[in-house]
Amino acid sequence: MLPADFSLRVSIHDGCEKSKMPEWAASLMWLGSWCRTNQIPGKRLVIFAILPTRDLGSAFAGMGCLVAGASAFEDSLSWSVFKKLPIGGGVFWSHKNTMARYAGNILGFKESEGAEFIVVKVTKASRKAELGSIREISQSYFDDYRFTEEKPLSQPKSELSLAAEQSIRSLVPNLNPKWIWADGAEGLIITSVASFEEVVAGISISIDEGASINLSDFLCLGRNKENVHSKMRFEHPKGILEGNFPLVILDGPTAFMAHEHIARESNLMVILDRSEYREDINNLAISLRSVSLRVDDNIKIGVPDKFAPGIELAAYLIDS
Amino acid sequence: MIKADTAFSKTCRIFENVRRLSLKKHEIEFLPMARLIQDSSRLFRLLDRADPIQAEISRRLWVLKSSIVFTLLDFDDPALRVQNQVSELVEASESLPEAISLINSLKICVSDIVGAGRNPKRDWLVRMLGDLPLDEGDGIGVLTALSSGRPPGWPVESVGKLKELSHLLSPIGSRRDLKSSLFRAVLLPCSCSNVPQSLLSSLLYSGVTDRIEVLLYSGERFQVPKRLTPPKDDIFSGHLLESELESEIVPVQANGVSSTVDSWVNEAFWQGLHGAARSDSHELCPARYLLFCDGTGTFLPEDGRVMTLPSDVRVTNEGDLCMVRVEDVCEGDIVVLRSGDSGLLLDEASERILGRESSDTLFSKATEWKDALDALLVTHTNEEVAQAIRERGISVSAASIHQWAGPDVLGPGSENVFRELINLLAAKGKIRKTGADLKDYADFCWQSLQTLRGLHQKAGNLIRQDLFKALFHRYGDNEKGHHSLSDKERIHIDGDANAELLVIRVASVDGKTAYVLPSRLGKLDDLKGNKWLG
Repeated sequence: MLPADFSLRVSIHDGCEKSKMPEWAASLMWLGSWCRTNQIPGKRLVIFAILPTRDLGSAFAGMGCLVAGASAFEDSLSWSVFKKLPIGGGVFWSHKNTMARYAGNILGFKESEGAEFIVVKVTKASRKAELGSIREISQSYFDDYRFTEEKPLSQPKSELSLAAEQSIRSLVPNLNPKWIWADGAEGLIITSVASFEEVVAGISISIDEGASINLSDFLCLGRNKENVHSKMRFEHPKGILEGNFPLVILDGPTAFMAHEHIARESNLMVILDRSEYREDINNLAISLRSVSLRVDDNIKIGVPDKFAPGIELAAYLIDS
Repeated sequence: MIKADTAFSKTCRIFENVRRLSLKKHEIEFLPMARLIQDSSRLFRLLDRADPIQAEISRRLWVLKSSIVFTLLDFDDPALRVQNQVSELVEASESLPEAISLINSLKICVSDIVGAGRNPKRDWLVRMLGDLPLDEGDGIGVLTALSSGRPPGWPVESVGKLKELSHLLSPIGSRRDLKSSLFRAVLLPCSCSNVPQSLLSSLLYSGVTDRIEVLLYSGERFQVPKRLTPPKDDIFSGHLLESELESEIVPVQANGVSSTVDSWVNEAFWQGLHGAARSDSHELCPARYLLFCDGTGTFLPEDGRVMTLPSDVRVTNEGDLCMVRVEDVCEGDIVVLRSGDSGLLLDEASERILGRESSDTLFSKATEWKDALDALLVTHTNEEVAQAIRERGISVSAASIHQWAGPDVLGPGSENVFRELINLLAAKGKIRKTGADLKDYADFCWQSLQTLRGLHQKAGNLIRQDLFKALFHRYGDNEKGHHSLSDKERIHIDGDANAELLVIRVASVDGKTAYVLPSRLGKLDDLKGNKWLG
């Protein structure tokens, strides 16, 4: 979860103007964090957030989701997980020290003299001589490499992600260094891509007195249709919505219609303008309430005494 | 004051406005007006609106009363035609002797009002403008869409006359005007009983201002409309702040004469234009009626979508062609419609790609299972079907079942959901297949659905390209956004489609669902001369 004083430590840079995080943005960031944190096996949370305007709502909720995800992270693509990947599947890896980057295919796993090895064929490397070569990496050297199934970021993008990680580390002191490079995103924002990009443009974030970072870079944002490494993804309601995400944010009524295409394990946060909360959506909320489960008191821990004026919320816990 | 020239500052302002919102009702004492309102109420009570002649008298009476109560113009402004309206009302009421004394009293009230030489609401506005600080800032919004169609008391020229009072005054004629603007204050010139509910709710609840001033004569009642809010939960209720405005909501009194007349007028207006049924019947489709600025109107399927153009009519890339749910179309939108009976461009383009016979066959194969779903819905509600599928471990809503049964949605987008739907239809005896046959049938239908979806996507792209070319050709060079769109323009799409499209501005949208024969969908009604359009 977020530190209790997070809203006092986050500053918003809107063009040249710097201000403390406003109450509404803090409420939404807390909400995103809460939705990401409360992952209950076999169940899902469905949250409706009705706002006077939903501009920037999903971006700040996404920030909270990201920071909570960073805080909850345990490990990256471990040896045991890696071993379950299909033979022939594509992987990317880089060496921690040399930073040399590779792409390749898994040829298999083998045992030799009591040690386990993964065998990969190099299909992309900075040196031509390495193309087509076969690498065998033993379990004991596995952690010297950073393996991912998602395509790693380009060098400039990697630097932006590192800067974001530094900022997030201010809020999550024990942040696992593997988190930022680990496969998988903390959340998916389903939204009108052009409008989303337009409203976040020009906004930067700084934590404490740290350097400011563009909001989209802070979110380590990437399109879901591209298999490029990112920690928050966003996509059109009619785009590629596949993937497992702890939280899916449905930004607007068109995005809401996509809820049936979302993996059942994901928590859902529906963000709507007041004028967008319609009869059909209300009917669904009523039917969700009718099948909702009793919530454990643990879920209510940390709920703020009062949310910012204008924010209306309802959350239902249901079987997934 | 926070400047609101960026998305962030605008959002901050909106939340701040919601926090500080004050709504003041100013009750203005003006004796002849109070008498006019009282006499009108008595007359309305006397009239039997089931009788066409008396319904016409009621309409004229409402227009006359509203012309005076709604307006911010001087009462003797020729554009209001107040005295002419009185004469027309007297003439129309000649066959109703029991109304004569009230009509005469009304005539005297109107003479007194016009003779007073001042409009107290206008005076209030002038005083308010005089008290404003001199600094430039956001404008003062004035709600001008006081009823569907052209509101009485607000002839076309009144907006210009409003601007003569102050350049800060900015008319609010549609929800679109609220999307891009924030206001220092918003003025509601009357009780707003005939304002489309969606517009009034947006104005009150979307944080466009922190100050709302309602001008009312004695006898006018303003009520804050209730809006939908999510049902209370166990987690957050008790942690949310209710605004002062919400606490003002009182249940609408249905038995008052004025509210009865307002309800009647609101419905009679649309019935006078389209005359469609308000309740469902087997062969009818749910639809919304759009009234256009050129005096035409049409029904579009309620679940459908319609293409809209940017308000400045600048079409520079395909992203400027925006598909909007018919339910979300609002006053002032510019929509693109197929000229002729209906918008079947998608089918035509599909035929261009696949050939007519193959396209029809594919459609039949892919949607064959809908007959079974229709049959099940004869004995089950959408919610019961949804519940039965949920019991099979698939999350679906009743709204989805409704959409799948209808013509606008091909079917479930997820294969798992589709298979469980087919299994349910078989379990209920609506598809007579079992075991491997049933699985093969589900495979076959799903493959056909996916092929049809691919075809529609290609067809949709083809249409968009053709349409974009045509629109860009007409409006693409509108660099400064100065192309003045007339109320209606025609665009020709070249190529195989060879279609003519109408680019047309929406004047009003019927907020209630109507039920019409499919043949009425997309058909343009010529409403010129209709008495409700003045």
